Amino acid sequence: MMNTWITASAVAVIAGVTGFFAVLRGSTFAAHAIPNGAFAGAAGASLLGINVIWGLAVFAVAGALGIGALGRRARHDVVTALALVLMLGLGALFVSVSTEYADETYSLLFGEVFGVSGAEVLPIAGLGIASIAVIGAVFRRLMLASAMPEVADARGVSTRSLEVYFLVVMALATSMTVPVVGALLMFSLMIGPAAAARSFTGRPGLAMALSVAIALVTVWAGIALSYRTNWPLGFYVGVMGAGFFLLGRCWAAVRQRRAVASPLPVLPNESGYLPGLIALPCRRPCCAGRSAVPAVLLCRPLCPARASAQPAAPAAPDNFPQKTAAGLLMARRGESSVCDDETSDVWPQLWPGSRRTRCDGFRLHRRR
Amino acid sequence: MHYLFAPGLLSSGPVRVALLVGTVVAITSGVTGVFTVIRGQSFAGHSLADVATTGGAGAFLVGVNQFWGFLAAGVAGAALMEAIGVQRRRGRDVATGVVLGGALGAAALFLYLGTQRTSVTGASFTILFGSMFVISPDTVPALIASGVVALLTVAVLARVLLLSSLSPELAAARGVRVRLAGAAYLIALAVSVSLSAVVIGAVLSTALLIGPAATALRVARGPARAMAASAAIGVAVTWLGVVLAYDSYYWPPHGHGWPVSFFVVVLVVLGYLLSYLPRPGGRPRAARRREAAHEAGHEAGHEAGHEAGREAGREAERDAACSPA
Repeated sequence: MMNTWITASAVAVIAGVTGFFAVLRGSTFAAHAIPNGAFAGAAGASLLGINVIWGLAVFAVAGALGIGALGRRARHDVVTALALVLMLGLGALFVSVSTEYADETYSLLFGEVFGVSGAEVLPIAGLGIASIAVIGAVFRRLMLASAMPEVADARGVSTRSLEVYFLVVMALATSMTVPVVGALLMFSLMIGPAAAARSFTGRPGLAMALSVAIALVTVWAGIALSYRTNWPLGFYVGVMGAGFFLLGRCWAAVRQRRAVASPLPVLPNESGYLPGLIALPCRRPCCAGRSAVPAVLLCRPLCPARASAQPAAPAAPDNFPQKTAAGLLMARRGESSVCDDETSDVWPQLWPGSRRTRCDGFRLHRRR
Repeated sequence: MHYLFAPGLLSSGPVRVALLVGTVVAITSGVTGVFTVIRGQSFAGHSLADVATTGGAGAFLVGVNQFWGFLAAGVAGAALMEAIGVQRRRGRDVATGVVLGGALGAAALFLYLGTQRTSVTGASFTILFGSMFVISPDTVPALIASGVVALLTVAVLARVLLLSSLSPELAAARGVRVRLAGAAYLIALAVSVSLSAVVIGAVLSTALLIGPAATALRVARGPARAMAASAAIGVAVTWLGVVLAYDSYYWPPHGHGWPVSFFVVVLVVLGYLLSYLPRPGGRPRAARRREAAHEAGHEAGHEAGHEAGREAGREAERDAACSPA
């Protein structure tokens, strides 16, 4: 039982940390596809008679690299879906050829966390520590590239290589635990707590800690319940993850209703731009911490509480120039660009003290 | 000829059912898939298949016909995803993931209880991968009917969906109820996906939904042609997969066929990768890109709304059909 607790805790930490970034970056599909497809590697390895771990590692890394490489030229979700079905198709072949592997499919998908042996605990605990270390090494860069890819690009951070780095780390960390906890349980544990944590707090660091904490609580309660009722752990983890998410959404909704109109947040000056990203996330519940500095400006028109108080302010369109690299550079210089007729009329109201200086395609408002 | 078509191919009952069902599923998935790819809902498409299998496991447990379990769970899953209702693409994926996580948990429970009761351990494998050669002919009429329902829904929604997928602001400005159209589409997708999942398994259902559509969107000009091409690719791939799987009884290891899903998936992925090859006689990539950039710039500068709306919508459709990236 002790082995189960330690293993499950290590898995919860891995899931909490990688899941937070998976949710933040919107690579939920990859988080589902890679461990799920890696199970085919396990089937192939057992067919060849080598250690299952190698099959998992090869398939996980190949899947992550494939998604990363092809994702540059096409839609990410399409490439992820095709990688997933290709790996699972190979898995179907391996399983059908070996014929005796089908019984193990259930445990690979849903895990056998109560059957952990002492020899398996140490590698998984080490893996947990290692995954935190490698993510921690690039934490700030990854945070920036995940929350605001354009700013990261403008600052010279290579978002592409960071993406592949993250995918490979996530693939290895999650796939190695597949024989113990199962591909599907790992996914439930990654998404539910992380998504819930982001509803509870807007601060990135706190959200990550909360994500780990919720994952730990989920796993511990799940093990206790599963031990008593003999129902599978995957059921409790999946249901509790969804429950925590629901709770988070309710919390966010209540907080949003209570939100009062506050004065415009102070823009950090030129030098304080990057620290401001981490230190000054938008505290408004409507942004839920997703936005950092430039988006603070967007927060106001987007905020429903604010919009009802000020019916003149329409929602900013999705292609708002603030999101482009050029727009960000202007924001850094204290200018802002608005290319839409509707928003440009509202802009001076939103940002007192600005005035129109130039109008050639983009309308520029220079801040005092 | 015998080398390619093993003797007795078309006189075999299971093969005929597999070809018929495969054709229906390939056409339905092909047409639905075009919108799935344009709207960036591949994850939802895959998840709905998984959610539907949960319903299948539940129905197996209760003793209802599996077919209704798949359908009910698929539609309920789609409704839940829509109810969580985040419109941004990243947030939508998270909502999908949460629903999927919950459903997988339930699947774990159902399969566990199922094995407790009947000690059938291969159930999880069959539910995930399915098998085209063991479809019971009774389900075929219901399958065809639901395929027609999904196709009709998509056909009715097609124009509205295209506009609201490519430019939600424009659609909203033209009085389209974007949210409602999206919800209706997701339900149609759930019907189509859960039916293909019940007969050919969750994996193959995703492959036929995404692969042909993504390939068609890369090679075809315009959404209507893309839908036709996607259905054609889907049917071709399915037929070829079934024929190869039938032939594979004579391949090593002897006396044991290779799974259909393997062939179909490999063909689908190959087709998609082939669409990246430069086309003979096609314009150089740089020229096409310049043109696309020009059109995009033109579109960004459009005078909002009104009579330009329809025009810009068409242009955007063409853009997306040419370059889904």
